[in-house]
Amino acid sequence: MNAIRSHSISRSLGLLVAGVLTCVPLFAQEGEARLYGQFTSGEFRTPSEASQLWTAGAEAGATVDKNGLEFNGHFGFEFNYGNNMMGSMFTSPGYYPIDILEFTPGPKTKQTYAIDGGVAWHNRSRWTPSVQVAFKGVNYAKRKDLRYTTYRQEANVEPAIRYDGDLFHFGLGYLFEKTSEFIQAEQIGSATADSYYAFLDKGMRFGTMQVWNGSGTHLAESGVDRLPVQEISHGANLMLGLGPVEAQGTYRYYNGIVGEKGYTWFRFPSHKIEVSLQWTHNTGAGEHIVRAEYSWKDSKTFETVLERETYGGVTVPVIYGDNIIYGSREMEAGPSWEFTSEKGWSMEARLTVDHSATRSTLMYPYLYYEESTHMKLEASSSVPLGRFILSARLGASDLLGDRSHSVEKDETNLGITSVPTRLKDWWDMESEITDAPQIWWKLGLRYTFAGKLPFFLEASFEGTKAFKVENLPGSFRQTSQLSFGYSF
Amino acid sequence: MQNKIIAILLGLAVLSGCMDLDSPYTTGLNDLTVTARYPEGYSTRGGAQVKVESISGGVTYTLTTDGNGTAKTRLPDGFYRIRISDRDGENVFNGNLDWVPVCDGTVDLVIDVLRSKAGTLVIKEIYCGGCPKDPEEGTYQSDQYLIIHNNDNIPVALDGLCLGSLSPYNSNSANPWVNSEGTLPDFLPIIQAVWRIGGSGDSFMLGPGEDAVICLRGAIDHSAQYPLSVNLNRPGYFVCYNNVYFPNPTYHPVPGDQISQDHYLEVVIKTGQANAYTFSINSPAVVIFRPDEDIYDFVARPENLVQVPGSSVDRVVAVPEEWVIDGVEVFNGGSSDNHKRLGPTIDAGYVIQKETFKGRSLMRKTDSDASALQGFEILKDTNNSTEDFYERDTQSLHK
Repeated sequence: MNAIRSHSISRSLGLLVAGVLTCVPLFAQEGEARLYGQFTSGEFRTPSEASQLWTAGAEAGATVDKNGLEFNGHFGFEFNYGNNMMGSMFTSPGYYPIDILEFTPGPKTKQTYAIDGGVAWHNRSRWTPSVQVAFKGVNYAKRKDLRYTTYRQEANVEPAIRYDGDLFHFGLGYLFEKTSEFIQAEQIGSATADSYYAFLDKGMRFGTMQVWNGSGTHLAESGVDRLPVQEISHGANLMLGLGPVEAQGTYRYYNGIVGEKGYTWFRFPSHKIEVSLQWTHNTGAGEHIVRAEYSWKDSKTFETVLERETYGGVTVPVIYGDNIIYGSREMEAGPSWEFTSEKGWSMEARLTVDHSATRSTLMYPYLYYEESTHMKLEASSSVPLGRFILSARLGASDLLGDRSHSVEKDETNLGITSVPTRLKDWWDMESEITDAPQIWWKLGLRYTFAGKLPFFLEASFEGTKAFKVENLPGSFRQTSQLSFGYSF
Repeated sequence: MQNKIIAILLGLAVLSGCMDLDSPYTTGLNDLTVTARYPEGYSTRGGAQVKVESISGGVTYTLTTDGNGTAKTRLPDGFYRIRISDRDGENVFNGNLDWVPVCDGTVDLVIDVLRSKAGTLVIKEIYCGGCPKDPEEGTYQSDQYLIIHNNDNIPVALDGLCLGSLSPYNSNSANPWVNSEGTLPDFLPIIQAVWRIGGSGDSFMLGPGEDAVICLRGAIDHSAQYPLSVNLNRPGYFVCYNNVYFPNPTYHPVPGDQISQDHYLEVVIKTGQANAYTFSINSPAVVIFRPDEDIYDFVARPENLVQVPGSSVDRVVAVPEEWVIDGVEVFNGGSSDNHKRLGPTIDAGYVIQKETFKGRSLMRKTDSDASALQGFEILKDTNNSTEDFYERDTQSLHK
């Protein structure tokens, strides 16, 4: 399920520091409100995605500039209903390195509430302070025999300051983000069915398969009746511009934990670096932006060695140590080009190469490594034609070479007969979503009605067609959307 | 051409991204040394098997001791369950340590291995997990039973044989009997009740290789209503039935017409509060024992009834370990937080009840060679149920 878009200024390397000054608004300058409905179907999907997904939403946003204060604000609500869903109990599978899967296909619902806003102060100096704040809440529920509700909250606070000199400009921002999510599960009906199992994924789909309320899944155990996860990140970004050339870098440190009340079952710290360099060139016909971007992320997951100890009748958790059970390094880099014409049409092209290396060390002495590299090409354009705006996007991606696997044993004389539990078929399916050669396209048409009130109607169709699909149930997935709104 | 592109892109990736992932095993392991200390009168031997089980990791490392009785390995941080097993003729040596933290770089352990002898009467089967009520919805647990087997080549009397289960009821509960050093008490805390087979001394003889079924709850034909259950209304079956102490008819229905009244077990003492005999469905620690004295006199002495630490109501009967003929530790397969309740002279290991309400039962393995030699069924008995038991898909009495 797609989450509601957020205004966070740091989400894209293309958006620079100094808050709303450089934030590209979701809507037109003045403001916009819309209602939308969406239908997604097709079997090129993981089991955590719906075979059919219905979406309805409403959102509104505006920017206002008054007495040197520039405000922006946005709120939205989205409802999703998906059929034939199982797999991840988290609202955003893959967001955290720990996941928990269940195996009872059925409908799920999700509600997303988002609100964000910011202010920048254009004072008489060369300095422009700003702050951007965002909040999002998500409820995600399944109401089958094994039923659960997942609650997620996200908060971002990003103060920044920008200096505009005669020859150069620079900006400095602080980035704070907190996400938290917890899963509350319960069982209705018989405890004997095979389907009431859960799998706690500890990376690369290695993990623990148990009845859902077994202590190995951490869904329900004494002391903590839920699976809570939270991640806090602090970061900074720096932008430096000299004439048409602008460079920026962002560093974030993430500190995630699974557990609460001292019961910390996992820690997952990570570091992320993003840098970009862009050149802007104005011609009489429009503006060209050529940009090179690069990001790198290093993540580890530690599983703690924890024991409950009772002192004077009070049981408390005691952490004795921890082990690294998972590690990953991800890199993404590529150039892009944007052109915005004076006549209102725009075009963008982007080439991205990503490389990831992952390692599972869940069970000593085994080491499982995987590496993969993908290349993605994408081009998009938007063209106004009278009361119409036609938009199109076309992209393709493929795995470069093969996904490499290796298994090593640190020691061989330990008499081990078992191997770590792995949902290999799930892993293969989920890998195929990115590995399969695929093309995607999107066509959109927006019509603004004549009259004093600028209502608009917009329709879009998005499709993905994959090739050489072996593990997934299908090779095609589509999303159709219809929205109706009002610009003000 | 494509390979060149891939090589260039990968080269860029490696140069720019520091994508190598080092092995965490190079620096993050601890050195563990385990030494088996044999009892007086028995010399230190090599060749004993040392099983080091990661309690949360679900993996068991197998080592062998050298001539000094020592085994060494490297392990990641964790809590481990360490079992040493050795056998020299009829002498069985077992030692174990439960929940050993291995976190501080170097851990040296000396484990006392205790000698015991293979038993005559052994617990052959434990069916505690219940079954589905198919074709109805729901689950059923009034059909629990034990089977006791004569592993000796002479008849053995069951008269006066007692049975009970240990506190705490479930293996994944905090064990209140373990002291701060992690050791178990020198008695067995039998909880809820002690049951005793009656008789005059030779009323209930069990021949070599024969079995005796003890119904822990209802001795009726459960399978008549629930086909996945068992028929426990058969001649010769014993039953834990006493409607004064345990009047709950759901769990203790009146025994069937095939059960004679002299096969009703006696309640020696009831120390619990429940109106039905409480026997864990997923992880009992069960023992059979033969007292050296009159069991009624024993339980009448206050010093033999001990309050459960932390409880103001529950008491246990403190049964001496020497009385025990056989015992089996069952661990809850749904938990990674199991704790031992039986010491190594009774059961150095455990058997896992993976699932409840599926009709599964825990069965002792047959010693094929010994059975062929003796001409009757001899069951494996190393006082280590990890080695001796397995989990069956259905009860052995299920037809």
